[in-house]
Amino acid sequence: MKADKTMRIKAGDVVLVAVLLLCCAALFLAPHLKKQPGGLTAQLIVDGEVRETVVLSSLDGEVTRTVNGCTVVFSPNDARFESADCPDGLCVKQGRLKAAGDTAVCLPNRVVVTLIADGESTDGGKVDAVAY
Amino acid sequence: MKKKKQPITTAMLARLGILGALALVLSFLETVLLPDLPLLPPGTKLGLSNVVTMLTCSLFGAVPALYITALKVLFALITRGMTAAMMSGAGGVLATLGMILLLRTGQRVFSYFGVGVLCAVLHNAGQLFCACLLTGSVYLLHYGKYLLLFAIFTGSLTGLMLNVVMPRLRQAEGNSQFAICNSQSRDER
Amino acid sequence: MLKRKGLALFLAAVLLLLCGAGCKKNDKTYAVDENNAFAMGTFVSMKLYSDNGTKHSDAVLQMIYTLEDTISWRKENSPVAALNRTGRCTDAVVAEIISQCAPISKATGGRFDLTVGAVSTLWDFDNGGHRPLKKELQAALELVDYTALRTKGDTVTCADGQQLDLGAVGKGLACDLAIDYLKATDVKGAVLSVGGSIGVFGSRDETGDPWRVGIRDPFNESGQFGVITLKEGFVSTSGDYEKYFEQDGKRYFHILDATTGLPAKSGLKSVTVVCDNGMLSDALSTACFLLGEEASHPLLERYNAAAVFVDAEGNISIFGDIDFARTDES
Repeated sequence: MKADKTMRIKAGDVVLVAVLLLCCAALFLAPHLKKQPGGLTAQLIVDGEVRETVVLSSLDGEVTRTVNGCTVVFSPNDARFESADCPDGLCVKQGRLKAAGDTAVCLPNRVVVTLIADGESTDGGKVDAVAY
Repeated sequence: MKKKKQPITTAMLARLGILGALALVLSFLETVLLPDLPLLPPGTKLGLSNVVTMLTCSLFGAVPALYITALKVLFALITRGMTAAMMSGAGGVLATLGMILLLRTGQRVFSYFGVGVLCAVLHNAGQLFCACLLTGSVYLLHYGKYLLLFAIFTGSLTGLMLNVVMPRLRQAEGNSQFAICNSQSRDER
Repeated sequence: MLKRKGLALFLAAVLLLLCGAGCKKNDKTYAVDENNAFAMGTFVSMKLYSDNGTKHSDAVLQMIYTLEDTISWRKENSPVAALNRTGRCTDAVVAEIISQCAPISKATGGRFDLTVGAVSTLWDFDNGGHRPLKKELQAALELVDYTALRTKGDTVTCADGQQLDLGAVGKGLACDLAIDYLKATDVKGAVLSVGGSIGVFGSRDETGDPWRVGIRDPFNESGQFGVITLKEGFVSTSGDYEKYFEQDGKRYFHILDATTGLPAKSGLKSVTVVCDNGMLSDALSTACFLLGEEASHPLLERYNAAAVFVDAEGNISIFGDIDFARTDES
């Protein structure tokens, strides 16, 4: 029997994709996690616990932390993995984290660096400046 | 879609070996050809290797598909370490289970397109949750929306590929030049 | 054939959606010139947005340093220091400040008074602070009287021994000068913070979105309790948490009532004023803090300003036309 046809897309496919696209839209439109300390703040999370919170905008220069084989550098405007002894080095490749929500992860060493509620950019619940 | 329960014959092993190798090559290729996609965590892949798993599942059944998945995990373990293995496992197993479900029960409603999309989405979801568990950080979920969108896209591609290929494979089943499918029937004779 | 077309269409739609999602994240922003420094005894930070990335932040900082050299009583050679020493000085900026603030002093019945310097030096908040003795306070209060300030052209005179302290308006004024300067350049948008006094204009990118200015939570220093949204203008906050000390179990903060020489007793924790003039927003925030909420209304109306009040119980009230939104607990 010749079944030379390409299988057609069926109803279920369309429904599935439609539902997924809707989820996508919802996720993109929903406001970000709301947390608002003043100023750009970085969190160093090691083994699932917040090891340290660094208010980046109050730094004078760079601050370096070494945990679990990863070297993390916090500077007034960004945070980044400087080096790590993990096999893939993906964490370092992430580059500099600059805006709230930006996250870099070293999975093998279980180290996460994330920026939370930025006091200096607009997006969702964040602000451009803080009056005090 | 025919699925015959079959014992693991030598021929089957050989087939799985080839298919497994194909999956690994595809996996490797996509890291080389498309490194560091923007907006996505590094290490995110198109998920081309899922084509192989879907093909296996469809032609040979759930168990062989799971073998392919296991092979991918093992390979990740050997070459990239425990973390990579766990990630591959989480994503792969979830995707394969979903694929099995859909191919067994949803034939009327879904074509490979839907399976491809679901597979890709589940794969990425599995990996994301695994990453969250490994690092204990909920902040990674921030990537979720980008991964979802990306998965829909890549899943569509792989699914469409199979929509085109599978019917023609079935057709070729009748053709003796197609050893892969034919040899089963030969074994059983 | 039809199916192929449908497929192509579908794919195109998915791709378009992807592009759309991608675009959302890649709004064309202008180049940003960011700078932070310490000036006027406080932290100054700014973000200047322009098409071509020319840097104006250094020029702005320079302006602020120059302003400080003019209006700070702490700078030996400043006109204000000269006035405090000799009872006389000649400077256009200082004269302007005094004439602009005179009506506000009058409206607060003298509670807001730029000659409060004699009293504030006694309290010495900058060096830890201590409560002055009653006698000291009485003596110093004799020297506090804004009506004795006279301006004739650019020349300012005051009564013997009076001490001018422009701390209540300096930061807002710095914002004024900076924003005026920037508006004349190719800068498309700017957000400037001089020790918490904010000045904004323009936009960060082509969307023309307004700016969002958070207000520090007086009950929780690392948090904000709300956000003001505005396209252009100045925001100043006076709070009881900026400079304070505790002595004998009591808490004393730096917003002094010039009629009593003591910290304000209006029951407020923080007042934020939005106005189209920086110096006024700064002066008004202090004045309203001293007056209390109800009594502030006429003053705010007069200057077409709006305000957000927070009282000791944490109640928030708003006066005037202002786009303010509470934010969730942090």
